[in-house]
Amino acid sequence: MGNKRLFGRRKVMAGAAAATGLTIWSQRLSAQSGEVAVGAMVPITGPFNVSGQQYHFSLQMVQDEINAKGGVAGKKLKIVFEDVKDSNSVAVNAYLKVVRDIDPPLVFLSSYTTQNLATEPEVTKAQIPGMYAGGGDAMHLKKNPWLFRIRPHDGLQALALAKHATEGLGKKKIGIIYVQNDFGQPGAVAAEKVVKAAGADVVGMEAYAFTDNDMSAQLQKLKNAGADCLICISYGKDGALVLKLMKEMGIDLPVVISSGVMVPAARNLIAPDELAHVNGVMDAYLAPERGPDVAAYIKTFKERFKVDPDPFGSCYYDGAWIMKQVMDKVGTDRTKIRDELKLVKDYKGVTNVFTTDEVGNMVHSLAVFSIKPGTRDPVFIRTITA
Amino acid sequence: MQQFVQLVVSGLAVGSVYALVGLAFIMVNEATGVVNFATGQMVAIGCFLGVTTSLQMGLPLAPAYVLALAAMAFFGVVFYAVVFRPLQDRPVVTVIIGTVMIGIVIQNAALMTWGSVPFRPRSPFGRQVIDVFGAALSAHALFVIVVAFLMIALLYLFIYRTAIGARMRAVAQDRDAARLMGIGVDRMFVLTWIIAGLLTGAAGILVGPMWFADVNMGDPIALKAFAAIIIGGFSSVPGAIVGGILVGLAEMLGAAYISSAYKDGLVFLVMILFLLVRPQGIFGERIGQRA
Repeated sequence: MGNKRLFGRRKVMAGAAAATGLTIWSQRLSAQSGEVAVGAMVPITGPFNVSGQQYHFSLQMVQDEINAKGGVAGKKLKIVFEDVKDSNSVAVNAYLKVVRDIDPPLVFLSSYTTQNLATEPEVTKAQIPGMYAGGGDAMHLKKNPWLFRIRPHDGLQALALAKHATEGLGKKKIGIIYVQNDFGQPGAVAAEKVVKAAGADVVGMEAYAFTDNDMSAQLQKLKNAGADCLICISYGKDGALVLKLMKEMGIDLPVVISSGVMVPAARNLIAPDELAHVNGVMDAYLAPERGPDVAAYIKTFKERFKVDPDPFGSCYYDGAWIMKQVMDKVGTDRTKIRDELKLVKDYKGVTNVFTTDEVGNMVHSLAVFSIKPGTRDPVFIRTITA
Repeated sequence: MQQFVQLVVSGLAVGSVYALVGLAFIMVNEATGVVNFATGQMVAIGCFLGVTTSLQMGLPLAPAYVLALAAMAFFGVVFYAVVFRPLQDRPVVTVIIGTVMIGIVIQNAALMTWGSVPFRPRSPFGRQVIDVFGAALSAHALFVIVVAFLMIALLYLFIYRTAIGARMRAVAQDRDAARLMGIGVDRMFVLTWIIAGLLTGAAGILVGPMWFADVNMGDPIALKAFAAIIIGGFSSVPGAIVGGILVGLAEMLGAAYISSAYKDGLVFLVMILFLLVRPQGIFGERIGQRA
């Protein structure tokens, strides 16, 4: 009886292998017949999924919009999503898989620098243009000709934070609190340099781990050091915790905070009175008053996904439209796409104006905001350009 | 003085949560011989059940907490029935890997259920702050300390002063002998998982208003709680309490007076030192002494 099982182990394995083969075959086939398939490395699950979800949504939306306008290079656009979670090895394997399976003319890379640093050697080998949103300066320092960054780099953000604290708010004793990783640490060092160059003092620099939930010791130290303003280099939830703790501890210092906290999902965690002394930078000024295109984008996004779009994910929307413009012009030849991406100049997207520089950075400005008293609504103050 | 008081209260609040989660580890390990690596995810589920009952269903906080804890007790039973019971006769490593796997499943199920955007759960005390020696102390942090210690005291009384507690300890000491004595071993296992569900659920509900609720919140808490029970003693209820408090205080005072950049390193360095020098922890028994 045991030997006559309908689904023996060998049969099941053979079936699985056949199914896998069919999947690969069918994806390759689909990429060759009437579709242009591009890859997207998205942190769909895991700790990075807050921004990953926005990235995912943006590309789903742009895929439909591009196809409604004739696709790319005369063919239907198909974006093949791979979940890169929060792991570098998963990101590399996802990249290799998408290259093997669909042989794409372009890949949207992760929104996290460590994953992109891990994937970068494979990009060089594959010679496939990649667009990415991770801010770490380490990426553009590699000067990889195949990579293009579609949001401001972290060095620019640190510059904007420090400039606004010193020149904008006129503060002279700056305390810096930062998340201790490849985003926060170099950002804090860069901000320190700009603060000192502006003739102000850095009275303290305090770090916390990405997974920390209580930064009261660090805040207390900065307060005791005599800070008259804090620069906070954080992501969304941790930055919200910093502001909440400051209010609880009665620390009423003005805070200039990085872009992660200014996105709607993070701002909604913070009570309006905890935002009273907050100024922040954002990758982009995503507001309807910027024009009908931006207003339509925000409206459509919110109607479809029931959340406000944020600049982290929305830059991929712009990236995809730039990709369409390029492929419509030069087709799907990778080298031609790369060369054309290098020539992008003054492309006006919903998030920013894109101009490619010599190291592949396409965005060169950030917006600074305060918060309307008693609300969570940002009020545009100025733009800071590199 | 003001700074010291502030840091000590924060450290005690954080440490109390680690103690609760550490006790969940100990309860399961003592009764079943398994380290439950899904403990962190159970904390997250407890927190989100609190979000569902208090924010999404809009219940007043007291019934919302009771309902969430009841759901966590049920979750403990389900965990026992789905994960532990089918695997209990397999090698311990198999069960441990099972808990790791189910932890991943729980985390992704939570992501699909509640989404990736964090919530800010309500506190019974709102955002009230109490002034003590010039230090502004969060009323919720004080509430966490009181509730955690109350729960630990109740658990201690239950285990050491009731007949059911004695049966649970008998099962923990020798499963086969307990069965021969007529103790319902399976019922004691179910009870153990219910208690683990309640402890992790309470920890999740308590930390939510302090740290926000997000689906990835469990692992860092479980990791520190694990360090706490290594330091305090893996088989000891007082050890979990002392270990939790020590880790919480070490985090806060280490960040303030030594280095914020290396505060986690300090905690884990202490843990490694204990593993090298006194592997049974402060209150733990040597294996030989347990026989």
